[in-house]
Amino acid sequence: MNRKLYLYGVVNATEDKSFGPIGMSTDGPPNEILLKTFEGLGVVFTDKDLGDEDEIPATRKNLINHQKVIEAVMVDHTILPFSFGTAVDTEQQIVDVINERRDEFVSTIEKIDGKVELSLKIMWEKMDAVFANILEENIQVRAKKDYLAANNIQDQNEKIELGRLVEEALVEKKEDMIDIVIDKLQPLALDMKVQKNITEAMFANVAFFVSKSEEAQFDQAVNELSEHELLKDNTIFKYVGPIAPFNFI
Amino acid sequence: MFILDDIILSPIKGIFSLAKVINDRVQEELYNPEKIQEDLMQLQLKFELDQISEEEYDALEEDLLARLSESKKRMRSNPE
Repeated sequence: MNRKLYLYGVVNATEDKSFGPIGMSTDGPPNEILLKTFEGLGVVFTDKDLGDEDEIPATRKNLINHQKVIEAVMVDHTILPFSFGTAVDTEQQIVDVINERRDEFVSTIEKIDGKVELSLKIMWEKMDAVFANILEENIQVRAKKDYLAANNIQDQNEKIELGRLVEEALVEKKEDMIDIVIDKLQPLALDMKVQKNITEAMFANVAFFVSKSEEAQFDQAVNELSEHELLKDNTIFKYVGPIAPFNFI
Repeated sequence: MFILDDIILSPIKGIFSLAKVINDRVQEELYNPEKIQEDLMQLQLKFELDQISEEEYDALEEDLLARLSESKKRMRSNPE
């Protein structure tokens, strides 16, 4: 048996309890999620047999479950969430970690108490339309294109140069778009993290750290943003939350 | 004589070393954990936007996770 204690996070708590069988169910019934306390701090974990595996694979299903467990804990506690895949071998190791880093855990839990993370990704739906718009509206790009067309130029280097101009124009356009998003939402957030755009079509990928009391207003602002003149057409909004503030601990 | 050897052998050496460089690059790319993580995120996004089916997603995810796990093993056995 290849037993691991798989950890979800640390909470403020004085009593042990069970959150029930809401854990991963890769190889049978879902794992029971337990809270074990050590002088005012508690660790949320599950006892898992990994069988032949070295570690739990980071599949989408397992990641969603990790998130789901943390959400269930968030109903009654402020949780300092651990990232997926944090595991130890023995309960003594949990005790050691708690003892070594108690002050840090306490102050971080204090910092995130009453706050949530909201994540917003925005991307264009059809890139053809975006490129068409650049060809039409960007002065430099249009001048180059017209010049090539008017003189019937087929030179490869000239075409590469046109491609480069279009690429630059796209970067500028993305910057303009994210500025609109940030101007609107930053005033309502305590903190934010602008993350890498993971596709060509994406122009905003931002995690916001928001007070629970500001959450409704923040939702409203995201709604308004989706009605913004430059954002209402040809865009996809992926607005996720509230989740535990992984990006702000 | 060794001049002749050089002439005969050098292009082959050249090709071999070029092939090795290309292979190293491919391996680097294939087993670069950051790149794999990014591919995973892109894949998840595609699935969430209904651009691929769950079966396609699962198959591609399995391949990426296998490479991620392999890349971790390589890093452990060959830390830089």
